Amino acid sequence: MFGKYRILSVIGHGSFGEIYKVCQTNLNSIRALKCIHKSNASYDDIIREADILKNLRHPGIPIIYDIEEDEESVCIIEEYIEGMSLDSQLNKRIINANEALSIVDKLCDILEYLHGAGIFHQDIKPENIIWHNNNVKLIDYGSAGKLGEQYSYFTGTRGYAAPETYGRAALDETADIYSVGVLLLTLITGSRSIENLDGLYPSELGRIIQKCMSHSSRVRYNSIAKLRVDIRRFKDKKNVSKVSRKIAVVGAYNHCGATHSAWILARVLQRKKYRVLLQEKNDSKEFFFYIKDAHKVKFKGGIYTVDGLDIMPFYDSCMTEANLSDEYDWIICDYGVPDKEHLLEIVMADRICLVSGTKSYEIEKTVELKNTLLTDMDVKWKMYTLCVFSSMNDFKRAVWDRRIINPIRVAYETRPEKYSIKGIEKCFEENKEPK
Amino acid sequence: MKKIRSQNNGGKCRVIGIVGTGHGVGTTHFCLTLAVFFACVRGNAVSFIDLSENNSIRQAGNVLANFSRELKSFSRINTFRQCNISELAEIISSNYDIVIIDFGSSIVQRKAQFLMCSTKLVVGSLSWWKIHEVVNFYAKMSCEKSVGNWKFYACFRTESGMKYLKKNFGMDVHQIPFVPDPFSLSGEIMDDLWEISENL
Repeated sequence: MFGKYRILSVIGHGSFGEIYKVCQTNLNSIRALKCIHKSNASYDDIIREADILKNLRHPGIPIIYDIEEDEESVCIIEEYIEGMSLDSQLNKRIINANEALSIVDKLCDILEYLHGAGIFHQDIKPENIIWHNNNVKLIDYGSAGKLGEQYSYFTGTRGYAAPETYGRAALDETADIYSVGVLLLTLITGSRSIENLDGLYPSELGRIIQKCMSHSSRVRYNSIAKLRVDIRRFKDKKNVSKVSRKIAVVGAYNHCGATHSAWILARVLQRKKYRVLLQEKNDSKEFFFYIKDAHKVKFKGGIYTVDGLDIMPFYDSCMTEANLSDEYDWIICDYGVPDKEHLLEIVMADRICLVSGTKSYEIEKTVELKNTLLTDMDVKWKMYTLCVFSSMNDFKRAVWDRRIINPIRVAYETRPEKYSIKGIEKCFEENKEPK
Repeated sequence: MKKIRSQNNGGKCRVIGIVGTGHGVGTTHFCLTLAVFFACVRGNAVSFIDLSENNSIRQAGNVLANFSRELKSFSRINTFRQCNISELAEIISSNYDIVIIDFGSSIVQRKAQFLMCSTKLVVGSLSWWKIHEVVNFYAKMSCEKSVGNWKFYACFRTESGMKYLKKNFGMDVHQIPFVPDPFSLSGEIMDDLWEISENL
């Protein structure tokens, strides 16, 4: 073709035309040749892709060598990439967690370069990633855009594209970050459904994915570099089995019973032989009342042990950051009525327990709090409503109220150490092992 | 693990008087550290009274608004400055668990108030160019009957300084933990302060 390319084989067929494996006869080197008819609907996209790629130089991005043209068609000559797409490989075998993290780490390297050049890929998915000999190539830049561009049509692939791309908003790097989150979720769990994060072990990886996949772009990582730091930090951890899981206990109004419920949860988990820390995250100083009334109290490293249960009162900013994640299986955080500054922390927890009575005004306030928590992230799958101070009839009425998520009745018990209720244990089913 | 001893003092508040043997030995720093520890870590109602000659806390209060984190912790402590004996008596009889009085290095002028305190702490330095201040202080106060119950503390202790004071004056000097920032306590510092608070 064009006097310098000898066709070796047909690699594939796209909507725009065909792709050939060719040999550049003068240099005796292998290339990929994409042939597009000028009347083809994808013609502009392909030319656009070539225009973007021509200035990029990165090991993970295909090189454009040349463009040849005749009357009817245009041919783009680019780097021939060995290997199968990630999509094909997922169909053939399971990719383990370490491989998945390695792929995403390398993908982040490519995206960091792209974003630095003011370009967003906007179509990250397994079909567009070639993984071969532990190298990653990101292909298909037909949907790629430049910083500040706004589109009148949807680009990308449904299921991988960020929500704001459907609304044709001006895009930034957070759209690609969303897609990376979906990709990582798919590689780890085999599905794009965020409910699959439930039971994801260890939960720190779940938090990374959740943050990427937040509906609101301002909640996501605001740069690929920051995502990469978290992924690398997670990869480097020597023993990933020792990451604590967090339960956020919140109430929509004062004296709803959040602290009491948090103590009950702690006792239930303790009885199931988990290592538990109960942490006060509000300024009520109620924990000190429990400490003063307790029979046996010990203190070490900022943590009180009260009648066998480890608790940490609210020290506010007095205490330097303590790394507790290696020491406890569960950390229960009593936020009481949460401040705005705690909302992100709450939605990132592994479980969220809304404590509420079942009177109509109590339910209304709880639903309002629930809606606030759901604004930036879909967390329904890990949210529970602990119904306190309610009779069985009132509880049944609350269950019928579809606005209440996963209701569990907490029977009245003055002494948390005597607590025994089956429903509340729903919150703490054993996590499943990753594939 | 440290077990908590009964702190039942019959509902009365504990008054801790802290005086320094000289300037710059860390008296106010130690007072603030203890005040923050009792207020924030032990959950006590704490009053801090500044009777030092240079009014450190009052001076600091003018710029404290620029330090939001410190201000937040400091606001848990009720602070009084330069009060007389009757005002002091009134504060002590209020609903505080702990009253900490910073006497600075002005023991001579405030001796009567210092002797009123249920717990008396003396802060000094055992550096060889400062140890003479500890010796002079002890010489001045040795006539007081209660001096045997006063506790001596130092942030900077030397082995030779401790041996010298033990041999010549029978004085045990306890370690003040190194606390770079009294408003930011690590778990280990909290353990050390717990030990101190249990032995007061």
